[in-house]
Amino acid sequence: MQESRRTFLAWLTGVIAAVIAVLAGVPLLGLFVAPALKRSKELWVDLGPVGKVPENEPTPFTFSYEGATSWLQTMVSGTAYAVRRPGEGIYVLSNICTHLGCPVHWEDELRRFRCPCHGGDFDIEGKVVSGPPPKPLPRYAFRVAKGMLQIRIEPG
Amino acid sequence: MLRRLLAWIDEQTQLVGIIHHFLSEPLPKNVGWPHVFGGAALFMFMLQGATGILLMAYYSPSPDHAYEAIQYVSYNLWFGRLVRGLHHWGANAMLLLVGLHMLQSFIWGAYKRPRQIIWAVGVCLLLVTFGLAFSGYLLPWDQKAYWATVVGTNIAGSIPVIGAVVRELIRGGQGVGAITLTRFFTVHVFIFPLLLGGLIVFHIFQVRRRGLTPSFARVGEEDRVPKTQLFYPEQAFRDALFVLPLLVVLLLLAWRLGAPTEPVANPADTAYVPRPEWYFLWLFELLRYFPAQWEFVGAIVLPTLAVALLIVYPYLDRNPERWPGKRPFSIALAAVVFLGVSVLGLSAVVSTPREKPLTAVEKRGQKIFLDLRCNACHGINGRGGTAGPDLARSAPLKAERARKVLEDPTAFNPRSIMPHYRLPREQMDALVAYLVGLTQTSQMPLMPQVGPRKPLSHQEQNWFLNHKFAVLQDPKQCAACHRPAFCQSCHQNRRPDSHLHEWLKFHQGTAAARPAYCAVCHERSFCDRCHRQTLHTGDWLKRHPGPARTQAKVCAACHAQSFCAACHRGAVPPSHGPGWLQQHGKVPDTGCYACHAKDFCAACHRGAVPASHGPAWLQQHGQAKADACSKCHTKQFCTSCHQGARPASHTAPNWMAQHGKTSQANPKVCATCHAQAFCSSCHGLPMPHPTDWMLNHKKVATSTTLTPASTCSRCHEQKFCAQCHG
Repeated sequence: MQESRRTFLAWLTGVIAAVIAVLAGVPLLGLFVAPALKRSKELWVDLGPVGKVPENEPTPFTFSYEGATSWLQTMVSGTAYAVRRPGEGIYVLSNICTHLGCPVHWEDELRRFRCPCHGGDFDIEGKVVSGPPPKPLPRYAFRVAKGMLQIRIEPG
Repeated sequence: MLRRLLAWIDEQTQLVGIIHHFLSEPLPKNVGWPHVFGGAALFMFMLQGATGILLMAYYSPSPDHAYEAIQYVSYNLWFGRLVRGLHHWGANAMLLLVGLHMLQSFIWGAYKRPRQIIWAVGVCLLLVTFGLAFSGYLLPWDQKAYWATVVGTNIAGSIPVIGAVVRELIRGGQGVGAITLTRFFTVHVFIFPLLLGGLIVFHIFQVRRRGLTPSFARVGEEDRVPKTQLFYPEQAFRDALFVLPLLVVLLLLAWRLGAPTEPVANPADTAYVPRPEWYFLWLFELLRYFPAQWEFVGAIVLPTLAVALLIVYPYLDRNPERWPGKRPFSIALAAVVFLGVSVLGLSAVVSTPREKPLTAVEKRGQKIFLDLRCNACHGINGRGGTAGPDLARSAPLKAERARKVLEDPTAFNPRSIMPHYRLPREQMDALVAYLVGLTQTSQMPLMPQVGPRKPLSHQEQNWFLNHKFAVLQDPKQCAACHRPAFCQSCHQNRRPDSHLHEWLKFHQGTAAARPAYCAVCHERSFCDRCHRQTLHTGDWLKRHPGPARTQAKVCAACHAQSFCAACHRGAVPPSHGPGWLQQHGKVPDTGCYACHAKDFCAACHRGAVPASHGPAWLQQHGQAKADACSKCHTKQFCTSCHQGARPASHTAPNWMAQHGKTSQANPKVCATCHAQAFCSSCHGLPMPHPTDWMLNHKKVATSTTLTPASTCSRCHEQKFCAQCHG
């Protein structure tokens, strides 16, 4: 009798403890993941005059924009490669390697984007040619406004 | 599955067995609900730790960012307000529970032999909990945080001889500043939690070693009370059942009220009335009863003695009885202390000015007050702008006067810089109700201030009043951060000082000389609103009569009637005496053109016809004397109508054949409407024929290149030539 009463109480205590854990845990977990779920408005950032992009020569553009991470507003800079291909038009590649995030650069002699960290190579279209990168270089959404090449950024 | 996992962990570590053994503590049969406070306080400590760690992940311990970080967590992150509220209300609950736990232990006589050290550690736990509460005060860097720390550290400074040094050590300098904040942060998140955790472990370990005191059993007779229950699950169940509703209450408080936050710390605010949290109110009130030179007695000596007495009391109290009825001195002492602290605390609460709750209408008015940014100029009990009077401290306003002041401040003070507000009646009523209802306890509503901080230049005293000089000095500096809409948010209701008086008359000069100055506050479209039709450029003087008639209001915005008179009435010749306007149509035209171009007449007569042009004028005007017409009209004036509709004289069937005779008889009549070029445009020759035509006409008549023979045949038949040539 005493044992079954204690078992029941232990079970009930466990249930109450679980409820307490959920009640306290949900807000805590929610706050922990909140910044990751926060979406900022997309931003169109100027790269440069679209006429400056020659055919078959990836052209690096440095861009910067005002990013508001938390309560601080800072200038965020980045580089993107604009490529004009005959018949294909223009596309804009990120210079962030898909392996571990190092900045790739265009090697004109090799005709490849090369990652300085682990030797990942990408062709002019951003496809992986060799090395450890698992995916092609990401492409930015872009548009041309009044002759200016713009890419879409989602400030974090 | 779970059992197998636990068995494996136990096999590897023996932890499960240890925990099981620890929790299976036999408890005396009369331990029950009064003993739940200790467990609940432990839960609160864990909750504070969890919420505190998360808040710490978003916090920045610097005066530049602490307030923004707190605001960001509260207003911009999911669950931020709730977690911060939990931390705030959890701290209150923890202090309350620790206090209740101590009180219960004292009344139950649990501090007596052999558990004196448990009690002493408990007192230390209370002190550290107070320390956590006090150090946590400063972290939001709001007004309460700042001033509570100033007062709190000044209490330490009241110690004779070493007070100033102690205060500087606590603050990390002479004033409360960045180092004070980092020190308090370190103490709050690192030193005190570690200390508290260690003391709690020691406290619980001692409780487990000695066992819970059987309720009211005499010292030495505890073993007589049988131990019929286990801590787990019996007492753990009671603890959990007590903690669950407590957590729900805390969640509700956090959800509904959040964590109260005051405006950002402002050391220059002389109007702030610092009041500590409820658990320090008794000490705050106690200090009022001590003169300045004895303040350290109330602030330091008495509390220190009280704590020392609390710690050593178990060793002083040799009474073996635990039943309160048999411990009159101890119970009376506890009652006196409890009552004293309560009375002092209540006294402080009563003496604290309370804000009058707002009615629904006043709340609407408060929103309008903020929407109109009245707070930029006017303060409410020391918070808000300083450009205008503090609305809660100025003379009481009657509703009617408040309404009139809002509608036309210059009616009461011609030099007032306050904008005029023409609000819909309902909004005006609400705003007036709010303003009239302000009292000495009213507070400026709190607004989240997340965003870029103002630059240093804007922190200057009276910046608001002086910003116009900055605009004048370097307008581009303003435009670097602010769009014109920013200026308009205030100035649409109130013109800047520079735009008062005769500004519209002279603004063109400023606009031409310093376009950047205008561009700070105005988009280009702002100029176009007025100037699209009335740009004073190029031939404006010639064009101006038209817009002056059709858009008189636009002119009146800049020009008084006297402005027109400056030209139109001031420089008239003696001939243009009284009655001139009525008579001027009869004057010979020769004199007019000395001063006036012909379109000068059209400037007026386009709308107002002269007396000669009566009702049937249009039908009769073809018979008018050409000289008279040309006084006012150019030839283009005629063609402006007659391009499409021929005059009556030209409608005869054989007009084309006859018109040469008419023109020869009276060339001036033709010239009324037609220029010389009109004739040659048809005739291909100068018309009428020049005087030497008879000598030269052969060359023209026979030429086929320059003037084909057909040119002559336009007017003359073959027989016309035969009349002479036979």
